[in-house]
Amino acid sequence: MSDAERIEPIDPVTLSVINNAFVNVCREMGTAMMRTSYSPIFNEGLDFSCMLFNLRGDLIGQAEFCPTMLGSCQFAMKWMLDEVGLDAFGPGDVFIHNDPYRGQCHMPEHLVVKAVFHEGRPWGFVANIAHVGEIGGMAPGSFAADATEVYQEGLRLPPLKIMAGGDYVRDVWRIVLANHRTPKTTWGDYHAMIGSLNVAEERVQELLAKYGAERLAAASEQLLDYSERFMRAEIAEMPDGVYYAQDCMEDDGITRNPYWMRLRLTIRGDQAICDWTDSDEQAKGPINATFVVTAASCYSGFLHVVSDDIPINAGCYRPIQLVTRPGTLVNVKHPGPSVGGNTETHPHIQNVVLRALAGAVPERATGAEGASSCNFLFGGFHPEYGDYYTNYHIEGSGWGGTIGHDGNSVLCPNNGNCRNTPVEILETKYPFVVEEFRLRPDSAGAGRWRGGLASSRVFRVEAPEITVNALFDRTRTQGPGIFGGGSGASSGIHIQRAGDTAFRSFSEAFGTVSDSKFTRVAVSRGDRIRLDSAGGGGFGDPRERPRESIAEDVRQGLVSPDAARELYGYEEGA
Amino acid sequence: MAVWLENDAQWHEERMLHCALCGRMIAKRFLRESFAHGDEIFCGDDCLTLYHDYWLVERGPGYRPPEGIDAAYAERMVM
Ligand SMILES: [Zn+2]
Repeated sequence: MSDAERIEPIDPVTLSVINNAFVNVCREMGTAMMRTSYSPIFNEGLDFSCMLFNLRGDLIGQAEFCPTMLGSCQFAMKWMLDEVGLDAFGPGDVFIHNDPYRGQCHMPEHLVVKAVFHEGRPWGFVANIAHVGEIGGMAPGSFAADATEVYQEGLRLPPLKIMAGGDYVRDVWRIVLANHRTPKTTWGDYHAMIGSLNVAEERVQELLAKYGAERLAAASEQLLDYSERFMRAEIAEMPDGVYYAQDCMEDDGITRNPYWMRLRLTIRGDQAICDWTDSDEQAKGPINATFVVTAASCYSGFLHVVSDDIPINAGCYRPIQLVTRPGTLVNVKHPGPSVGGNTETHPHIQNVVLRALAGAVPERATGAEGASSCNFLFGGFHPEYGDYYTNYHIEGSGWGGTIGHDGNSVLCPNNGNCRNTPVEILETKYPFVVEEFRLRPDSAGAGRWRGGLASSRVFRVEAPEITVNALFDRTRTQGPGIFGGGSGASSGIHIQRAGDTAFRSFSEAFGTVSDSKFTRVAVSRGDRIRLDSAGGGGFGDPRERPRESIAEDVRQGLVSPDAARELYGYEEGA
Repeated sequence: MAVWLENDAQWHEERMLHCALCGRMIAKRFLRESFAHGDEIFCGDDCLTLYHDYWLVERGPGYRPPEGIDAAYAERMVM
């Protein structure tokens, strides 16, 4: 009998207090991370997640971070335990791991893990996963939109010890820092990640002192079981049946062919079977999702339609089972590339999950979100600072309308849950001027509840040369509405060369294969680059939208008078 | 009768094994079961069970999506 099983059931109030304590430990890790990291993608974009795991590698604590990371990380954690073993963890040791062929999401996402010891024995793990902005490979910013294998996407790290007993494992650090283009930033960001583990370790020690190791472990087991029961009860409320949905990536950066993901969702009693077998074969380019990305999309899709009161941990994932075929768009096989699978394909996959669920719980359905992170990466020598820089920039898009709510505008895909970087930060750190950053009128899918609006941003180049890369989607497709709602506007990336009068696609200006996915394009002083994100799909018949809501949209310039007339049947003053 | 086995790759080797049901990669321990169509490996009991009571019943060994599958999905999807 395990220690946890010997303990009497813990009362619900104490369980709730302990669950909230786990959440707070993770939130505090996040604050430490945000305040100490070097790169904007950490301290402004918040592209990281902080977690607690038990000794089996089950997620037992998390907070309001990136659902993609929170759903996938236990696969990486469990892999780490399987590969290096629990005995490899000593006090003060920190392991790092970013290998998509060992349970990770994609290469930039680095997981750091530290065991928490109590009376000489490991009790559990504190962990932080974050998108390291530059990890080498063929493109500055490590988002190689034309990569055809994982080896081009940066430095691949299997689970490795980077701190041993609190000291640097210098050989590992030296290899990493020699392979990243901006080693100073990696140095700072890695320390922010490790520092957040130290903060969490202290807080878990306080909980261990308060509750005792056995009682705290028992509470985490009981919370896992409670979340599983809660999720099973929610699924059991859904009508049994088979529900279908599909969507496509418009191209893979190598060819102009679309790649389809297809979900056959079976609700059977208190169990959900997410069968992706009918998806297309994997792409040559980097839009493939790893298995764990697809799993995380399924989990977070369900979490969008069930009660908000379920404590989110590994227990609520148990009733959701996946079926995938290795070698497909939703489960890339070695050595396929996957960097865009996590930012672009991932929100598409989650939209497909939500669309399939609309068949089971239509009252909780949503129009599709823009579903592109609009990844824009750039690097070069700063003309004023003299340093080599790179940056990973993401753009918010429109979310889908739902019953009772218009979609949110200009937010990063809900599975990423990141934040837009302020203009002031971008202009201070990098040789760009942001000439414009605005909502795009008429970009929202029309509906009884319309979608969220997309944005438009114009960067003017203020350096002799900047190397840019992009990995967008939805430039030729649209996020569909639902139950009569209209589609959101497509995204796009265009360039107006200095002296030219018009914005043109990168294929037209530079001959790239794809308009939305390209790398290593050199732009020059005075060039303007316009990033347009995608709009969200609407929910329900636009003609049922209250007249006063349309009037307000028109007054604010979100919907043009023409669109109000054509899509909503609305005449001003009528 | 399924048996538990271990991925016996050496520390310096990579042997990429996938579960026959969920498709995830298997780091170390896996279940192997023999079927009429051959041996299959699984990441755990849940996948083995689902292979029997879902995959073999509703899909079948060697299933691949047929031509025109997109039209079938488009027809059944909530719009
Ligand atoms: Zn499996």
